[in-house]
Amino acid sequence: MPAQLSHRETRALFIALADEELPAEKVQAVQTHLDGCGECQQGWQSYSATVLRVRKVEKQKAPPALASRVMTRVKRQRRFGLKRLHLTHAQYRLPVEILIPLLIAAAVGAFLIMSAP
Amino acid sequence: MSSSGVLGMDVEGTPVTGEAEAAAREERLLLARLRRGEPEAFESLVRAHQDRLYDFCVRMLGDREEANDLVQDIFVSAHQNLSRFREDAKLSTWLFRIGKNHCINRLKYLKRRGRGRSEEYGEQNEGALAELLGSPPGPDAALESAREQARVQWAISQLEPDARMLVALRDIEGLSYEEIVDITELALGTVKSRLHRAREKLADLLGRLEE
Repeated sequence: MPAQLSHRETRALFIALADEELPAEKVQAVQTHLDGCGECQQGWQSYSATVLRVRKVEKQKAPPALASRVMTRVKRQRRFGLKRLHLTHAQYRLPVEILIPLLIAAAVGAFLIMSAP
Repeated sequence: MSSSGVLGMDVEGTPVTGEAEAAAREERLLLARLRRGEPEAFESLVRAHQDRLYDFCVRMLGDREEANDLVQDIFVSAHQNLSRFREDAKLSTWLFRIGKNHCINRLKYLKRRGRGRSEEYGEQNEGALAELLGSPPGPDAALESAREQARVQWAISQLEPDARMLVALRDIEGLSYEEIVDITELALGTVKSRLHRAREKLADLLGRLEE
């Protein structure tokens, strides 16, 4: 026969019980304790009822204009995004080992073209 | 024997593996489009997640106007940091993580400011609650539902922000403990013990409200 649970042990299992994560034998042990303990029974009733009430609370829906406001802000940010130019390489993932030689080659090329007679 | 049979809790359906795989595939496709910078892809991300994020922010801040502003900030921030998303979590988890940080920062800001919109709403909320509770009980289901909403939201707003966040993520948004650990960056044991205390406090608050 499994050992009887104390009040403290029983109450500590309320969270798993409410989340339905207790194995059957533990559920049975909690039930046995609750059957013989009015105070814990009352505690469980109040705990489980609260969890159900919170879970049943009506969800708030986002205002209808929210998505279009976000898109407007994102577009504005793209248009005036020059301040974030230094982060472009992070967004487009062009490795710096490639970017720097390319820039140097472009600069040398431009110099040679301009200095040609 | 399940706890639902013995102790009267509702049983929630668990997602079928096939559905989870299809959702994961769809998310990978969306992510590829996001990485290519398609504006339509970002808009569908916003539309898919705006309601849950908005509800989460309302629970955290207790203020619809603040929540509206904050959800916009969260999506703008997500857009800016898309390249940092490492695909080690679901997009929703990542958005909630950004949302959690924004909510905590906004709550600190409102606290520093002393009297923010949130506080004004809190007073209005308590006034509305008193009015609702003071009205005679009737058969009107809508009134009863509004009363219940007000009671629960009032009790949630009495919790500390950390506890409020756990109640919102677990019991309102219905996230798994694994997702909550990812979002909050807390240990599983800490999440469970804080949530347990938060539920006990809510039970106490709601019990006292109805005495």
